[in-house]
Amino acid sequence: MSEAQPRRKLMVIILDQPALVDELLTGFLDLGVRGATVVESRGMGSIIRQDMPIFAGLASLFPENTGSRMVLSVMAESLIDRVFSLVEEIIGGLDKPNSAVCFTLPVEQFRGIRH
Amino acid sequence: MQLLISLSVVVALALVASSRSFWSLRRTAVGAVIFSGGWVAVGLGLLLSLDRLALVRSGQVSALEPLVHFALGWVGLMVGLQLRRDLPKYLPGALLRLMAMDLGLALFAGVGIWLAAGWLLDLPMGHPLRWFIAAFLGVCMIGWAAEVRSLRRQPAQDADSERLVRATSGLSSVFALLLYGMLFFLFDTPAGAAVGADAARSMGTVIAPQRILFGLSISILIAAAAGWLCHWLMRLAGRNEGHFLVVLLGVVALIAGAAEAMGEPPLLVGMLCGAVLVNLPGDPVVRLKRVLLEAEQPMAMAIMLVAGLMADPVLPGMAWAVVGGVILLRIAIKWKLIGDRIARTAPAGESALFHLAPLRQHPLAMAMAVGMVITHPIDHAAVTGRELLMMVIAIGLVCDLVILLGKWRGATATEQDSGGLVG
Repeated sequence: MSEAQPRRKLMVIILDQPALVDELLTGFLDLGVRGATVVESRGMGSIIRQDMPIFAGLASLFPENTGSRMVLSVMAESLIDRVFSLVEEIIGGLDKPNSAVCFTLPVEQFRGIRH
Repeated sequence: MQLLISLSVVVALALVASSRSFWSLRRTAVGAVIFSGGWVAVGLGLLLSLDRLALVRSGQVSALEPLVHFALGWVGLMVGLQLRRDLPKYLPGALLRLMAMDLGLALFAGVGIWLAAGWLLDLPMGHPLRWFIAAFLGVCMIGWAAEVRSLRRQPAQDADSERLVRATSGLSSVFALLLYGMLFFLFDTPAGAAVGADAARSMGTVIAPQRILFGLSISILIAAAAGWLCHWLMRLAGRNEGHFLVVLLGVVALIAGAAEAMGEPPLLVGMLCGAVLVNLPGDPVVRLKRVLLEAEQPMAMAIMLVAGLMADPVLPGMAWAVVGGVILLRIAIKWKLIGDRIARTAPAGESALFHLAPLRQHPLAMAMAVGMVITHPIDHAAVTGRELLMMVIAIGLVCDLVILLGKWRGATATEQDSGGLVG
């Protein structure tokens, strides 16, 4: 029988400004979030636009630098509200276009520690 | 009232062009050809300016000139922002050969048009307008549309040929804009233009080679100043989206305004400014690029609408002969020769479709033609600027119709990988 685990959630943050990732990770450390994975991501609009260029045909040649990063982190449920506030503070408001999207998902099971 | 109508249509079209449902329409083959080519907007523009409807008269479109300059500056900036320092290492190997062939074709077409213009438009050998028409239509021949989704059977499958088509299209547009700029410096309006514009316009153009160096230097200076200013202001704006947007709009307005005031083409100045900006360090450039590219479709629609509004739909028979000749050249050389090289790198089952890719006219040709009508008005008995614009529209439209026909034939016929769709 495994010992009872604290309730955890998967926090997904999609940042449209990659320069803010550093600040976000620093904030994570201050809040006690112990780890996160950062993935380069592309939004649907960017893919569609690049798929059908009109004037900017060379854009598809470059290695992707869409300005979008996805930050994934499994964290204790108690931290979620503070992380949302942190993201709001860094972005300066989640209601603005091209800022960030964040949401949580329940974590059924969690195994493995990478630190 | 008429200005209000045209302005409302521009804004409405731009809004429609940026909507999600519009994007889903564009993802169909026919939708991609129609909307990437801007034919809905061009058609609407032509319809609005029809004499019978008289909703908008072409003379009144000149009131929209500042907005058109702005849109042209925006497009130039988009093209220039691709000119990263490290661009050469991402270019496919076969690209330079294709580009050389394409530029050779443009030159060949220019010579052909020059010869034809003398006979068909009755312009004497040394007439600057004859040289101008040949050079301008030759520049419009450079490159092809970057959009290939409409041609493909399996758009999701990665293909070298797709990269090749897009890359050559992108780099060609840079060359085309450079040559277009030089064209405007080379063909100056006569000295009397400022005093008696009407008399000067009826004379056509004069060749002023000494202006090339001067004009290019001025364009580079404006572009460099606007680029550095934009970079500095964007850093000051920081993360504030509102400030960022104000800086962006301000810089595009500055490019367009300065270009207009100094008699430079806004497309060229915008491109040079983009080239300066993209090679300056910092995160703001990534944001700038994203915002500019997000507005690509609405800007294209606005320019195409203006093209429709400004074009003279009633072309004389001789002008149609020039149009026919250019289309035949495109089919004979772009489709057959260049298309063949592109088709060699195409995935199995799609080579005949990729054959068609270079046939399409680059949408930039339409933007250049609009810029020409606005910044370099020609009102000669042989041909007017508005007629030249209509010729560019007609060439693009017929080529796109050939593409659709070719795609349809490709879908119904059994494909032969070694050859084209014809035969």
